[in-house]
Amino acid sequence: MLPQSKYGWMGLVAGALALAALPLAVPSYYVELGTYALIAAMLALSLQLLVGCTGLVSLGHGAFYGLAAYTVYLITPENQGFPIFVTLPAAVLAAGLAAFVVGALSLRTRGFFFLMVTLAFGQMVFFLFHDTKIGGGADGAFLTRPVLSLFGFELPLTRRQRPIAIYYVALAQMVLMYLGLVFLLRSLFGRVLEGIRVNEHRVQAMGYDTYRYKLAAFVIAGMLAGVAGHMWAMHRGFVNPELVGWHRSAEALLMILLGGLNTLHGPILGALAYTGLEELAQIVTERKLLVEGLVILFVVLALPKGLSGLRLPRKWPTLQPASPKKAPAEPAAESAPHG
Amino acid sequence: MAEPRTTSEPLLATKGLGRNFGGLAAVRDVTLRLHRGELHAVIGPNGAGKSTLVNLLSGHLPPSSGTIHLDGVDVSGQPAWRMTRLGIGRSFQRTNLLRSLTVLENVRLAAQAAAGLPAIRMLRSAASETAIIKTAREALERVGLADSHDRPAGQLSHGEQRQLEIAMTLAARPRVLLLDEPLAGMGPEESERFTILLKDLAREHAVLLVEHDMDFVFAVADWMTVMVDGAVLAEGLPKDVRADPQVQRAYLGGHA
Amino acid sequence: MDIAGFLAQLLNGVQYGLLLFLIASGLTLIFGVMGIINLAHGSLFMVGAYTAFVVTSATGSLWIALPAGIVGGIVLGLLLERFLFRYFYHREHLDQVLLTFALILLFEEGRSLLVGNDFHSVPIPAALDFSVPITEGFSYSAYRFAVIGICLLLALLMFFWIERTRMGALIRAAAEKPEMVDVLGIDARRIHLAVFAVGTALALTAGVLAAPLYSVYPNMGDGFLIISFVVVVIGGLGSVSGAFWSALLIGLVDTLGKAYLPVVAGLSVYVLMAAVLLWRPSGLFGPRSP
Repeated sequence: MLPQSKYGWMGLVAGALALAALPLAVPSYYVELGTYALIAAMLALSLQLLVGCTGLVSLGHGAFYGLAAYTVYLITPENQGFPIFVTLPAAVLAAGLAAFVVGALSLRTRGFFFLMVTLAFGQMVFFLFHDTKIGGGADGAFLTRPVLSLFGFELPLTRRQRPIAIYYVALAQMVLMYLGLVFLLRSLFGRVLEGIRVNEHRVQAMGYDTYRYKLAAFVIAGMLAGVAGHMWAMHRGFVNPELVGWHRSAEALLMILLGGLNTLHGPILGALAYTGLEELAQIVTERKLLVEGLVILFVVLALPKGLSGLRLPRKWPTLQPASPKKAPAEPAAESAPHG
Repeated sequence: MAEPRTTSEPLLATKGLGRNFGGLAAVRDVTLRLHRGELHAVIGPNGAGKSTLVNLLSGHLPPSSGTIHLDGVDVSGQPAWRMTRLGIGRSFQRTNLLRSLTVLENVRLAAQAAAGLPAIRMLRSAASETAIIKTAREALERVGLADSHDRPAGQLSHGEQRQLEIAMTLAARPRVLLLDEPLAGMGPEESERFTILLKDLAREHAVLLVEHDMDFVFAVADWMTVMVDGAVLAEGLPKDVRADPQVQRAYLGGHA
Repeated sequence: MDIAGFLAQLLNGVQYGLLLFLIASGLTLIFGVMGIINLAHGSLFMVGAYTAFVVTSATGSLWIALPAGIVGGIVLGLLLERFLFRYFYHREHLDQVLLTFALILLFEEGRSLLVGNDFHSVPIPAALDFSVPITEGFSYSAYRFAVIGICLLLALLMFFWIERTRMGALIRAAAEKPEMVDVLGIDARRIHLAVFAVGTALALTAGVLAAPLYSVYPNMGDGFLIISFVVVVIGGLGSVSGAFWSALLIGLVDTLGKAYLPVVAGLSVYVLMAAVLLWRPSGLFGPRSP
């Protein structure tokens, strides 16, 4: 999951620096696009805690993401934005509570059942916003964006500076999220999650109440999705039921697969690549779904390990463990999620 | 009738234990007692219900009838994870390891479970919990796998994997050990090593052993229970069981 | 209490439930026997509905669309199994989810290219475009009765196939112990093809039958797909009889819920699912533990 060598870490730091340098080098449109990519990266990272780390394939993750965005809409009065240190905790809390309820019920099931149940719960949230007036119904609603302020002091930003500031807020959140997950994966708790992914039955026999561990992971992942959703509200300023739809969840899964199931930075790569691909594809055709479908087919059929499984040429230090003493390629059935 | 073999209270006791699958009774009315310091072997032909018995005692299957008591406390129907926490350790007949993780990590996880840490402590880095790592290393030493600690468990030879199974069971510091055909697939050298280890373990734990290798069983067991068709046919000292004509007819055949 | 209205809703619920059964039975068989999660099953329903639209527009008759849907479904199912799904039996759930999700997108685009994105209505066949009087004060759509009748007939055929034929026995065995299928050798290939063909044909047929009742529009498969999943969750994986009863239950709960408690409406089905999960995590009729 984590880089095995110091070259790996250096690569990640280099990547982060490159992302930080982006707004200085490109026009505003691409900075905003970059923010969308970072939001997608956070959503994919949050899902990776479930899929790649614990082996839980959920199709309802988008619900927590969208719910967080809707929470911002619901608590913010029409003419005045709330400070971010009010909206962010509220959004994350709402997402976490929903994740707790959904998780407590869904985690009583496994595999296919779990997949379908999470899908169904996601749809429940979708219908909640689609069929009722709560969030502006099927058309959605504009919201007043949260304000970047600390203890009443608001950052004075010009029109041109705002997108750049938003970008850096998103980048900082993503980096913190990644580091937080690193910390979590290395902890005693994280090790149990890995064990659950590899062989849940055995881990139970060891004396772990795996239900509780999975539920904890589910809630944490839900809260992290909430961070992403809140960022969406900050950036886009608009919510609609699509945010909660299962297509969004499936896209997040795709980003994970695209970037690599076996690494923590894979989903980030996948999200960046996918956003870039979508942008490129728009130049060629308006048929977004066609492009998406073909990309998924390609990834599933040709790139079993995703982008981070691609080997760099021999001359360069790789992100893969190079030393022969380390674990060789794992049997696919063990390292992939079993749900 | 068997002589009473000890006056102390049994560590693990079942009473009328039974388990049905559909209409079939895999285990019927089994009453047995396991004492600390005793190596209790359960033998019987295939399909006698021995594996089901182990699954019942370890909590992997809930009983259809009867009770299980650990140290006087009723633990019938508790799930597997709770049974392990209460001190009933079990090794698996078909290797059931975390194959893509290292040998040490397999055992470390088992040791971590037994440490019973409070939730907030779980956020500490695994590498910093040296007491747990120490327990794991000690368990590996005990079974002779210390040198292989950073190899992936899936890469071990079959015999080594069985040893790892035992190490994992031990790292949880159980009071009762349920060993389901631990010798299966072991070569003669490994079997010998294991026999020594087993006798050593039997001194501090209550050990229930299910095995097919008769020579081995008669050599190490302190007490024996014979199961046929899900029920107990006979029990007693190995020499008495061996001589029992019922047992000879039902199971031992030419072994006596 | 408006008895006539209630009876009408009751029958609507049965009719909806039976359509759900057609879709869900394919879904549960395909997973039970081959372990494939087919998210695109809803798209097959959509293909059926659009087939009805296209054929009816061209020939003016739904009666031609019905066999067209059945035959088309069998052919499509055979093709999908032979050239795509066959290679995914041992892949991880994640791969299957994404693959079938890609199929949904491709089906949608295909439909968009061939037929466009408009909302279309499909006329009820003239022969059935009347109301059957049941009692004085209550009459019910003849077409809906026909749908109920056809669905029940198909359900009976399915039960006969699964319970009384050799292939059905093999299918039941495979659903219970998938490892056995590898042992069966060449029969396994035939079973897979048959299950896929039947499952696909049923979904398409449901689409054809549903077209006059619900109209055809983009993404129409989504709603039916997810409810079908709920049917399978509640009914138990791999259990066709489970799917039957749970489909009826859900059809009734959803229809009556929408009619009498519009506040709860779309949520009632999910609340039911949550309740079942609390009580029986492997479904009401599930043989397999989750």
